[in-house]
Amino acid sequence: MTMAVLSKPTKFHCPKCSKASRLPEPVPQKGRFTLTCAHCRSKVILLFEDYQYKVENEFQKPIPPLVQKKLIYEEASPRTVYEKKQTIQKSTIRPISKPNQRKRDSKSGSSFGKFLVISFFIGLFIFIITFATFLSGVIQTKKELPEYISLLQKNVPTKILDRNGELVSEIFQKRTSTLRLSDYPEDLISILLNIEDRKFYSHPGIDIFSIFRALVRNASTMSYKQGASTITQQLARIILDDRRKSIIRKIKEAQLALALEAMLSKDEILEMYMNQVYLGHGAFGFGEGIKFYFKKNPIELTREEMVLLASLPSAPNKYSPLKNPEGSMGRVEDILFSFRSRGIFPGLQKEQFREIYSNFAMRSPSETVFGSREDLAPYVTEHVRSILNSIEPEKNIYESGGYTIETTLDKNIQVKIPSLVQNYLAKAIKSGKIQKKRIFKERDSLEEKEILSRIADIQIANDLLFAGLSWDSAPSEKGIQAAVVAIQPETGEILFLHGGEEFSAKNQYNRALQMRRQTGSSIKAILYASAIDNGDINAGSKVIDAPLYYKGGGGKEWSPDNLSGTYDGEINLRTALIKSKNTAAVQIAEKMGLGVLDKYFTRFFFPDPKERKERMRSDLSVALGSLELSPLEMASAFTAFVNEGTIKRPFLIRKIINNSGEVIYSNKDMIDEFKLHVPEERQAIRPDSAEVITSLLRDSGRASGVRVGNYQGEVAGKTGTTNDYKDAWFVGVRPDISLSIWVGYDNPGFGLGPQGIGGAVAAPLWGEIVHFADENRFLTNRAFPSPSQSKTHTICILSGKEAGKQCTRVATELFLSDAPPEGTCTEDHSGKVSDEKEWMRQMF
Amino acid sequence: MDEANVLNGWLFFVFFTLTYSLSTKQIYSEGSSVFQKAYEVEKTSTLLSIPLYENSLMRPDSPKGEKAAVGRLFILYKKHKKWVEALFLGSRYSKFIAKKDRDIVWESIGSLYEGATISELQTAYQLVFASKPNQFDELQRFLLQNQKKSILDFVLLIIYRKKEFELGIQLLNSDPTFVGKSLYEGMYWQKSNSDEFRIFLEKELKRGSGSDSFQSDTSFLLGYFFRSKGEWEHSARFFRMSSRGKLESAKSLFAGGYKEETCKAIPLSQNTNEEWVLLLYHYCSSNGKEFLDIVQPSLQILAKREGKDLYSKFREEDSQ
Repeated sequence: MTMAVLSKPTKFHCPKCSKASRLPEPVPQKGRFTLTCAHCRSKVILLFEDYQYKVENEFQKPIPPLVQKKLIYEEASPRTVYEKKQTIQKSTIRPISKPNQRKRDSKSGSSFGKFLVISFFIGLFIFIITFATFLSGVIQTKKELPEYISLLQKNVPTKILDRNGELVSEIFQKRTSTLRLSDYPEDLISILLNIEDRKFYSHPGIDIFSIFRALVRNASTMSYKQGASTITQQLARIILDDRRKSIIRKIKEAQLALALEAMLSKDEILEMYMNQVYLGHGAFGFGEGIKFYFKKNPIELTREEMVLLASLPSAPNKYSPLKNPEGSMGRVEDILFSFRSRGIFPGLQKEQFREIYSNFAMRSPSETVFGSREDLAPYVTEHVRSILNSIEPEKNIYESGGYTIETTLDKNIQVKIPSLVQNYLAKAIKSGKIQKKRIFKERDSLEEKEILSRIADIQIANDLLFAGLSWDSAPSEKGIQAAVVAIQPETGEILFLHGGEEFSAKNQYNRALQMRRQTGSSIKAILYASAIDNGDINAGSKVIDAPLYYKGGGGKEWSPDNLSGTYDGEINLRTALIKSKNTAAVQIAEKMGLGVLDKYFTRFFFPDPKERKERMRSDLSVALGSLELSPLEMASAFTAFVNEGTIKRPFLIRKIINNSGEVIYSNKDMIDEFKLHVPEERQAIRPDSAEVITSLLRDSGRASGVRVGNYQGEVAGKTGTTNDYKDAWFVGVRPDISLSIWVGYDNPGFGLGPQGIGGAVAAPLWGEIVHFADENRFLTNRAFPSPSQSKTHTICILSGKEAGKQCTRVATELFLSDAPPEGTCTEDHSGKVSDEKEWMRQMF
Repeated sequence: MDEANVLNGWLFFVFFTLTYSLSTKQIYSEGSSVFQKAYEVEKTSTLLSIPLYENSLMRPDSPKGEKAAVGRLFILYKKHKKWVEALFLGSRYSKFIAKKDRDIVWESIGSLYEGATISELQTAYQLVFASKPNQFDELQRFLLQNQKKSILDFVLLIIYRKKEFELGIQLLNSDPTFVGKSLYEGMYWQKSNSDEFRIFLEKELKRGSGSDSFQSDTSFLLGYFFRSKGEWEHSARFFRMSSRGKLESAKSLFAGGYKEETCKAIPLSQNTNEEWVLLLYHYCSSNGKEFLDIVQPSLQILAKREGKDLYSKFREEDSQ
């Protein structure tokens, strides 16, 4: 061992070759260093103490390392390197030792190596296992990918199309976009990729470098500053729909991302992502986002709007321009800065952004796609939903979407009906034509009369006897309602329908289909048609319009009155229909007999025996509309008049196709869509009877009140009003349409008031609707065909018989082909007054 | 003793209640059945349903039933131009018959009485209703002031239909201006007092007059006279001699059993406002039996009003 001199040494002497080598500058004050001899390349351990060194005994036992830190300083020439060994000296010189000692040292070194090797292999094994597990997960996920993708389809809206394939309505829980990638502007795609995933077209689903970069950045700032998810990973996250922050979820997400990349093309992944990514306010996908935020078609977007939309996927709520415009602006500015620094998308206008944000300022922060969604036929949508539920009861229709429902609706008309109905009702209420009158029970019984006689306060008595037993038990009254349903007579196809004043969460009851109400006089069209068909009356028949009185079992009296309260004496059928004479209807029903009445009403409404048993009643009140029928049933029955006496079963849905393209429902399968319990087609009356009743009803239709609704055309129709003005009806038919209108309150405790008659309330709405359709040429508006089955006769108006030569007051009427007028009139109608005078003279 | 009284009391109460309720029911159901009968007959003959509706009003079932009968009857009166009956009904049941409907009747009557305004006829009508035997000054004054034959004819007809025969006779004899109305006086006597009628006829025959109208009117009255005696052939002959007695002649022939002559006596039609013309039309037609069967309830009422003998042949025909 050599002692070093006290001054700072500049060289050291190699103990092996004894040559001096220069010490590297600066000379360390303290510590143990390994230096390489510049001459013999031997390693020498020098122990510095106060800048002095001594060569350490090279056989000194090294201190076992805890932490190894190696500092190497190199000089160019001569190449000398300090190797500082703070805790361990790595011997580069083979130590001289005793054989046993050497053996022991050698054993210690080999176990460490073994440890390293074993550690390496264990690590490798674990890595292989982990990697294999991960890979097998990827393979498994690949197999499950179709299932995963089908999960996306569950949010594809179910579409309801009209007769021309036009979209009428959609059923969905969350509405996702269904556009093709080619439908999106290229700039939008480019902007999106530049913001979300620049290497999309080059990475395999996961971008390792981005992950490391993000890790470093996030670790350095100790916060989440940068995400590393590729678009494929984001899509995987959307598919998994798992928001938990866990390593398992991350692994699953990565596996799915890799599987997606393996199975789908980049464009398919991008399209799927762009259609599914959430953009806030209930809008899923850029297609929906564009509609919600800008109410535009994708091709109409400006670049600024594209930037704003593309800024949303990372944090749609945080950067919502409606909820948090400042946050959104900040995010957009960051993007713009990034674009500028990279020299892409020059020319984006700040002014344009300002304008966009000022437009957003006008909108409610809580607005959603659900609030702004358009449903042109909400009552149809509900009907379709119920049919879908009946076909696939185990499925949640809102989630398992993707159905296409082809209907018979005419969107052109349907789209206008809700507003027409709503405006009409509002107008009628404002003008006082429609009122809301509480209906009081008739006080016929002795008990009630007794109460009235004893209670001085009539109001209290009224309250006590009010039909609704108590205020609480009365069903809640939603206000005035209307039902509208139109059928194409020759096919039974429903052209449009609306089931209430306005569809809402609290007003979904489809009165056009589900509601059954008394029909009032509108049933007379059916009654007269039946009587004509049965030969009980003909166009020349006379009826005496005078009061009637019946006393049944138990002393129950019935005295059917005309709505007007007046009587016209002997009148013909046309007048009876035009003036809607109740007395005439009852007499005709009487003439028919209850058996015949039953036979015909069975044909028109209840061909099903069970239905007939439950709903038909055999008494004369049927002639005045006491049967409860739906607007759909009425519209359907009236089609017989312009369809040669035949009624086609009404239907709305032509077919339903599921998301796999399978037809799961078809009207060709003869499905009774509305559970009317009627055959696909039935002959209610003879073709010539249909012509005769149509001829009569055209006068009735002309006088009905449709003109008030600006309708100037021809219609064979009949008004109806029930007791206490509870229901106002008008059912009118033309060769191209049979339209039934009902107006009233749901609660039978309320009536429309004295002006609320069918001709004043329902017929004008019929007129408005058909006028709109005709004006816009949405209906063919075919003229009534000339009668071909019935026979025309000239009759004497006074006698109703075939007109004789002496008859001066004649009319042309249609008769059944095999039932001409009863004889020829032989009465002498001239000089009637002189006859009467003579008769008067003979009065004694 | 007390218990027996209580029991008797209860029995009486139960008996009374039952009797009362049953009798009430009977009346009600009878009234109802008359209406229903009328309504049934109306389906076959509106004209012959009239007597039945008139009868139903004598014992109305209920206000509803009464209203229905009045309304129906009024319309049938109008249909068959029974204007005086319609006027009477309108006056009696003005609450059920609208003024405009009553006005229609007045317009029709006005067209039949040329020379008189509707207003004059209405005043005359009201004055007849306000008059009684020995209390008809105002009516008399009104008639003398107007001096219109048509109004006098109308007044005498109303008096006849009101069966105010005494009033009619007094009125006709109250002023010489009214002389020449022997037909009316004879009819009043014929309806009120058969002996006085005979005396009146004797006077008239003694008075004599060569005029056609006198002969016609006297023959007409004689026709009634012999009918009341059951001398159908004479009755028919005298009626036939009167210008206004053709129908009555046919009726007497019918009552006398002269079917062939009856059916030839007058032109028959089913489109008529005269019950007898219709009845004889069906009587004379080969298939009229069914009709006569259906209208039997009406025939019974008419027979009660005009005399059973006159209608007896319908029943015989029916029984054959």
